[in-house]
Amino acid sequence: MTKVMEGIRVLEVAQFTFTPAAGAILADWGADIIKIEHPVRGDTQRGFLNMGGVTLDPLRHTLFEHPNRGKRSVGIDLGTAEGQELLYELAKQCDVFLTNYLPQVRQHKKFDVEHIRAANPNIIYARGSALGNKGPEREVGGFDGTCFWARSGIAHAMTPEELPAPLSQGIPAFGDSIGGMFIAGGISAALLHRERTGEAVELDVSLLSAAAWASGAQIAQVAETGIVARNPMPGSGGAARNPFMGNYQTSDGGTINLCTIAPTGHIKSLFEHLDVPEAAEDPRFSEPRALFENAGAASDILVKAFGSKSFEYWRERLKTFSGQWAPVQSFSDLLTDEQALANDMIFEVESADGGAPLKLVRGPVQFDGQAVQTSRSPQASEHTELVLMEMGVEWDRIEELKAKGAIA
Amino acid sequence: MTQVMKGVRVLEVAQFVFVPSAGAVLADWGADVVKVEHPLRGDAQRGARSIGGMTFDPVANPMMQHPNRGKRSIAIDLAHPEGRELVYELARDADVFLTNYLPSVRQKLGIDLEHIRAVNPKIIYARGSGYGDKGPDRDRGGYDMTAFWIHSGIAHAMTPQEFDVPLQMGVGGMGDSTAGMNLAGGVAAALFHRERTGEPSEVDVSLLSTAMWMSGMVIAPYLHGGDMMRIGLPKVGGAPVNPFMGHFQTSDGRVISLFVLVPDPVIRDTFEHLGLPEAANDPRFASSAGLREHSAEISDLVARAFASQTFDYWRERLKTMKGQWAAVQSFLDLGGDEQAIANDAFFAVEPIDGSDPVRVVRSPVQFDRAAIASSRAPEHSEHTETALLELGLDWERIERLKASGAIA
Repeated sequence: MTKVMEGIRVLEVAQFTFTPAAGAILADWGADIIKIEHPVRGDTQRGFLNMGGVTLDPLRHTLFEHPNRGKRSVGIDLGTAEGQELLYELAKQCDVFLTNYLPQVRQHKKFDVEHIRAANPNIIYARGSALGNKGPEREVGGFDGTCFWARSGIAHAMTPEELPAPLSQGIPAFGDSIGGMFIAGGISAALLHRERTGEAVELDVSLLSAAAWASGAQIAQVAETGIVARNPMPGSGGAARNPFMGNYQTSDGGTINLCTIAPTGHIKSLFEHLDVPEAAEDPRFSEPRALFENAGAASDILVKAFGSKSFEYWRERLKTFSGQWAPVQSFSDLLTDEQALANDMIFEVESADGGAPLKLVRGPVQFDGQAVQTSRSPQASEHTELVLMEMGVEWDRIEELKAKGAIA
Repeated sequence: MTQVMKGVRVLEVAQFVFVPSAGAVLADWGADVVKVEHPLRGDAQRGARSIGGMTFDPVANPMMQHPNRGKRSIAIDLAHPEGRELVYELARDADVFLTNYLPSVRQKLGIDLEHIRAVNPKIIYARGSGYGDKGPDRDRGGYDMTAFWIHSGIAHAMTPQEFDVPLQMGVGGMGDSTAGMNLAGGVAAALFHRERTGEPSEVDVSLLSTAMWMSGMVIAPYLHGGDMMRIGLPKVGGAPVNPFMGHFQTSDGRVISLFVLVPDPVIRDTFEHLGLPEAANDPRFASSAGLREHSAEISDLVARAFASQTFDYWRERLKTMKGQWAAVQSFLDLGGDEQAIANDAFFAVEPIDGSDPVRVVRSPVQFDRAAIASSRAPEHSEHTETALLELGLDWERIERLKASGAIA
């Protein structure tokens, strides 16, 4: 595959999902990611072995794999002077420094931009944060559930006003993964800029800036009008005005979503696919204006038609329908989705326990139509000796640092 | 500001939000983005002027500004032989070709990869699609409401299991803007790769691949465990296992969410911030086990505390609290969010008619802590003459092309 980041070395001092996910994307793209972990504790994410009632095997730790596949791990205690010195030596040989530690911790442990730039003035310094690197709350930490979902206005907009409290972010690490890809994109632009001008930049992505961008089309309208639209309560059947938009239940309780905003040119196709071709000839439905005026009657026909056959039937049958639609799939359906698989959206890494490979989702960008090839995430401190020797650190010193507990 | 894409020329043949928003990010970063529009119809997005009962003025339309700020517009009829020739001339001078036209349309118009690479073998060819450039659905169009929200499994995961049918996306353009930023990141990486190796790449991002990446953290374990978590209807009050997790209503009917995942170190601090010093001193509540055992009683205390003061009071009061929390803001609140503004979350563009500036959200990556300086979206065909003069056409040819209807 085309490894657009081949030869790039990234020094990652980060935990959890958001900023490590940026490292994972760059690793997918061919960069060498050196992940620094505490010699004893490791990345806190390694401890997250429970989710939604499922307990994971630490050697088949998919919650850790998603944001860490393809990296190497080096155990260094950045609370020691020797550990800091070693970090600077590594930074001298890296192109990018990637971190999500809070500013006060970066200062305390001496790996803030001035410390890292003192060792390597040409390094790109990339920060992930909760709420931005400026302003009164720059030292406040946050999760995607707080800063991306609740603070940003997304939870408010997603939640029908009939409900007493906001919906939870139903997909763990949703905001983190979005933010991670945004950092990886920013780093790519910064590397291009450095290659062309010699200038190394600092860059920032926050969970809040990621949420604001994702909602930017709507926020621009809100800024203009002062009116915030809320999500309606979900309901079966067609929209009041356009029966070609709505959710229709199938005989086995599945749902087909029609999203044909402009029915022009699709009326005949839809009714034929639903095996009610005569409806397309009915003057009440045969052209868009009439269809809108008789939306209730048309919706009834559609409800009855969809209710007569199974989800699988409609998923197959509608493939040739000319308008917009989608089956309401679950993530399990997605894993067998022919189209997702044809586009290499799922790939495998070998597992640390030698068992069956683990399935992971690739990053959203594909280069030259090729599948991602990468390896599993590292065990904590798995590559300490190897990486330090590559960097020119002698065995004697490695032994000495190990004895002191500065590395593991 | 640091313009990391300065000197990069992008030729955009795209409509709606997704792929144009990739052009908008590249323009935010300093690229010269020339947008090709049909001489009569223009980008179909220009017609999208109504949402949630509001109708916008065409020159200050925020729905057009968000995905098109900072570009130049040139009107060329691609179906006209001379128009097509002109696009090839523009492509010769461009670094990136950006499109979301369907494969069958690209073939018909002669703007598919082989046609564009025939005139410029070094151009990066970037495609945005609904479902990917491979597989049985490669020629199927999609909106973010279908491919990103419904088909991907996101709607299923975000909708409380009590509902039979899925919630709508709730945030207009969410999948489009996210995928647009992903595509901009991919283009940046491809430009960097070309700069170093001379090799141009093809870049693909689909609405589906974007959705899958954001859900990738849980798709992997759900697949592994064969089961998935569904959210329930949101409730007011603390969770049974941890009363410091939950949504609480304020005296003015707004909501504050507590996310104190690991309460032990912050129990006293949390109670004190909630104005409950006696609870802080209650030995029954001194550990997370105690919180769990007495969660109903504590949840009531916390609910009463929140209900005694306003949303603004709590937003201010909790700023120094150590545990995680978030005010459930609306997009309107976000417009006045001090922290968002301190991080330059918005910038204003000046409509061509001199009316009040339109505020738009900046793209999510910030370079060197500097605000974005960009301009409004172009009016339809605003830059046809200047762009063609720059390309080296003389007035006579421009006049002739205009007369033939190939440009406007």
